[in-house]
Amino acid sequence: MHGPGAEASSLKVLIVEDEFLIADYLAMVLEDGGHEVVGMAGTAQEALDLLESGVTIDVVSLDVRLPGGMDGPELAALLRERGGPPFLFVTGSGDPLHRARCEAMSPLAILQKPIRPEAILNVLRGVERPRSSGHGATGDLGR
Amino acid sequence: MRILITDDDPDFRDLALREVRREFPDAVIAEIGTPAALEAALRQEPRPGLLVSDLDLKWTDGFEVLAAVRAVNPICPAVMFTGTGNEELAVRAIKAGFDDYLVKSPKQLRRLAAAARAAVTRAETRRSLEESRDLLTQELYHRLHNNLQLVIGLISFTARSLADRGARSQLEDLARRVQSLSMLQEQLYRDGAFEKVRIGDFLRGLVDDILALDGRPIRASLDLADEVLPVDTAVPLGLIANEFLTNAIKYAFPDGAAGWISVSLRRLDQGGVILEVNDDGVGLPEAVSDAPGLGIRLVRRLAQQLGAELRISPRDGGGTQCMVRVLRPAA
Repeated sequence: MHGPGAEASSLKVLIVEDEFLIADYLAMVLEDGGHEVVGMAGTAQEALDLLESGVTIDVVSLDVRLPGGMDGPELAALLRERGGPPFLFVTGSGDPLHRARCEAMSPLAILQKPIRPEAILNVLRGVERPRSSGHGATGDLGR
Repeated sequence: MRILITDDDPDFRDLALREVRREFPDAVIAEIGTPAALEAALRQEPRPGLLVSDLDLKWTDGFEVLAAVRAVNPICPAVMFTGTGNEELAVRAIKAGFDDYLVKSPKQLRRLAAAARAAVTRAETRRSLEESRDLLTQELYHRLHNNLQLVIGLISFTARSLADRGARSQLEDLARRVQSLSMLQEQLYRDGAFEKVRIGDFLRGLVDDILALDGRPIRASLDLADEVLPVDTAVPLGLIANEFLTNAIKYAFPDGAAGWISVSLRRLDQGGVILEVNDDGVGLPEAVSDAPGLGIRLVRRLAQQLGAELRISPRDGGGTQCMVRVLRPAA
């Protein structure tokens, strides 16, 4: 919806969420806010595949609990290790242990489900989109 | 495991130690005969996993010892092993939190090991029950919040699919109501107090959301007492606040007008709270009294439930004043 003509603050977002309708809702909120959803992944592995495919991704929205053996905080650790894009957590969990693991990854934010649309858009307002290269902050995930 | 045996008499300590040792051959057992020894034992790690204590000690009594031990390990199992036995004391010991009570006699001495084992097993069972209860709570919390998110998503998708603007707006209101309920729900868990809500925090978040989503230049001034309300009061009051605010945003400032909204929550001297939402907009739509909209009907019903006084009136100087006064928050 928001192609090259979109405003400068428009970000390319990857949504990692195993409940597809929630992913769709997040996408709707983000697109309403002028951002572009460039991918949706239901597992951490799918997310990594997308990140390594060369798609430009400015920011990742991460669910905490994910199927497939790698959860949100673990994926976040990989993103950090490999210089990937910044991320935020969107979680339904109230477990203090989960929260502590999320916090340890220095995310942009930890948002509680059900998210307040304005809250997630606010978080993205603080994210700078790398303009110079035309590539997102995918870094060297392939290495 | 570390076991503490408290008794003034070294012979009895020794007897008890030998009995307990039969059941817990690998345990580190500390004999305690003085306050200093107790203090030192309580400072050591790991924390005590079993207490065997006499009742009458020259320097304290068994109840005090138990309190001191439970201060460092709240679930430490404990057995009272005493020379001064009677039924009344036994009841007191159990009430104070001892798992068992034995009198110093040759027959009961043989029971000491079994009693100690039973107390330890019971404590372990209690702990694992608590752990699974915590796990269940976390699981339910997670499910609930995901499902609320789904519900909001489904309502929003449905709203999008409608061509009729009025119907769409009704559904958006519905999504807003569910969102408010969810925010109240989240407040419940925030402090780990499952029956209380920090209503001021909730109202602040609500105002932020509603104004930010609206996007018009509407200023808000907040004056919110740091009030903690029982859930039975907080939920209806929170929903009322949502209706007051949504209503003001929807009707007070037509044609993208700038405006001002104030939200205040004050504690009443005689108990209870008063919530006011004022705006300087165009005033009440005339239809409010004749054919009230859904929002007003919900507010009236919720106020009724709270036994609260409700007033929606023109504000001096223009705009609308919405007030609800809850005299006695539910216990």
